[in-house]
Amino acid sequence: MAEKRLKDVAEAMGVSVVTVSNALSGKKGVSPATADAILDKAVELGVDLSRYKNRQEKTYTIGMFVSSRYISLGDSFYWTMYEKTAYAASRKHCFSMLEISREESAEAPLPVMLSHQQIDGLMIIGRLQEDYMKKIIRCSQVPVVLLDVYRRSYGCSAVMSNNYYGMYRSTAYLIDHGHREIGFVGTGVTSDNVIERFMGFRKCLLDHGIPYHPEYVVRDRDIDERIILELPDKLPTAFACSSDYAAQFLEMELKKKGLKIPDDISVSSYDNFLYQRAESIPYTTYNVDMNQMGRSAVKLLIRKMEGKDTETGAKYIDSSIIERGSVRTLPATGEDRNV
Amino acid sequence: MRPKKKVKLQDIAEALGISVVTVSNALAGRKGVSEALRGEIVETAAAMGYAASGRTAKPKTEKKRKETVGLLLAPDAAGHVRPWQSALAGRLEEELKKENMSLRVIRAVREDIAHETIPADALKTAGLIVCGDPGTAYLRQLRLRLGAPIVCCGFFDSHEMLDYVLDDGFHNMGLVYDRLAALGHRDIAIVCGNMDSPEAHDHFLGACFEEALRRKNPEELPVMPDPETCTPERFLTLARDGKATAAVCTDSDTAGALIHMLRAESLRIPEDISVTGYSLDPEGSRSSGISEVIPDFGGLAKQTVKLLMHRMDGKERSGVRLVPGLFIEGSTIGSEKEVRHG
Repeated sequence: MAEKRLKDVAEAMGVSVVTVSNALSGKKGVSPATADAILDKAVELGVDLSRYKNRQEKTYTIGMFVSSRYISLGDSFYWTMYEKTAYAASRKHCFSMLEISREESAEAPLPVMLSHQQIDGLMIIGRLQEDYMKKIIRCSQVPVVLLDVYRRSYGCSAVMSNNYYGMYRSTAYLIDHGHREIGFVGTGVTSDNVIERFMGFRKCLLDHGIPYHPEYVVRDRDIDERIILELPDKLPTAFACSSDYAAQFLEMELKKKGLKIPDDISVSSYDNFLYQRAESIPYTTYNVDMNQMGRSAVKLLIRKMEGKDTETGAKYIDSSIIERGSVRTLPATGEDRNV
Repeated sequence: MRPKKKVKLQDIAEALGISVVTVSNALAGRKGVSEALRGEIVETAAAMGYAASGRTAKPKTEKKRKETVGLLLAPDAAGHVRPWQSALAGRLEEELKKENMSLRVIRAVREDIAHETIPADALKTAGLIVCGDPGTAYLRQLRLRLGAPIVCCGFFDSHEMLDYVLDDGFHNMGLVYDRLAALGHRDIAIVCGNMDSPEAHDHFLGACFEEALRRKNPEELPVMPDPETCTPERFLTLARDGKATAAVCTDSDTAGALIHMLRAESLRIPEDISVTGYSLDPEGSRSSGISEVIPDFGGLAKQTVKLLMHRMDGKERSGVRLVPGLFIEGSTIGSEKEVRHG
């Protein structure tokens, strides 16, 4: 009888029956190492584990696929995103594996982990070449969730940073600090995300009745990710940057002209990714909550692997502004405030 | 200028020389903390400004009791409560009933808001839903004076870090463009109505975003039309010249007016020209049959209540939640083919 068998395991392991029960049913209060040891012993003694199956979180293998364009070891946005997501998967008792794209086109072979049926679910992190993305989604026999990339035409679920309201927050921060002449740094070529952020920037200006100056919009890179940033002749008092990288490119250009952040020009940014770098100014930036995005994407994929969620669409994760020293408060017009 | 740093559990723990877990347990009303210590922790937390975060310091057992959630209806500048607010109130009541909670509707009047007076009723609720934008100063007063969590529904204020549940007016424009594209339309023009509201901005920018995604080479940031030039009159010219087969209007009133103008020019809707709108009114423009987007009021209510429950359980995450809307097919859109060959 099951009760007696639990007792056998408990005696063999020198722990209480309650601990054995907790360990087998996946409850809290047992260290993972102990729980594993108990599970091994239970299997060894031939305990009927079927009644624990439902209560124990099933272990899935999640494949994570990233474009080679975005992955440079240990030091890229998507590498960090992968780490956080893999951690979130591990917390949900899932294994994860990473595969990096080789070639990306409609003719390119599917990811190996997909064609070799190694995974229960696929997570695509960041943009892939359009036709290749569509091919993978169409051919995948396991559920797919996208992370930080989304188009409705993919017919897929995604977890995104809240580009529109995030960039709004970043721009509003400048406005709240007295800025009225505000530029934007970013290029649509990088991803749809930047276009969405540009729209959030425009919304913030429209909602506040502040004029938009197209001459203050600065491209930061071209289609081959080369930096092409050129400052306009007349500068605004502040720039809202579409990413921390864009802010860094801007800072380099400003430096060439002997201009300093925030004394000469204010900068707000988006990502909260580059702050750890010693050589750059710590930017006031909108936080992309990678932890929450990773958790949310894993949760969504698990629900899909369990067959509980068949809907498509994007979930947008909002966060907040991290205040650092890159924005100067301008005195209100007409009065001389000491700030 | 800079807002004070948020007080964390750790700060309270350090101030009292106890563990973070004890502070957490005390504030969440969990067992394992003496009542004397709990009192001290709650007091310290309040003194340090922690109560402002919206965490309830109530024992868990009290939750089983039927609790009352407040719904603060804030009128617009003209003192009116909009139809969408009333519709939402009804849906919220249904959702709360499922959670065994009751709803108390609290109507703020313009004078309350101007004088930052919080109705006494609002202070007695276990949680408060704010429906309609009362302005930053009033929201701040609510946040400071209420111990209970607050969820805002139907508007956004970047100055107060609260939970905001919103109709996704920006991305919803995709529903319109997908439908028109499926019907074969390529020459689509945006028509702007009254552009005084954040919602109108969302609809306009959402349409611009869709246009940008449809361009073959999205190298540049989108060059967008000036909303002031996107008038019904301009569309009329485009339609006459055969340069546009569909009008995407930022609101359904404008769509209605445009349809009227087009018909006066002997253009048929939808055989010659397709027109779409956006209605915040739950009844929509259904009587006029306009093809339009409407907010998903049920979805908004569900998300709002779910979030409030989370917050009442002490879970903390503030920010914007976007709820997708619904496309109502209506009778003002048709296949593009009919235009060319019909």
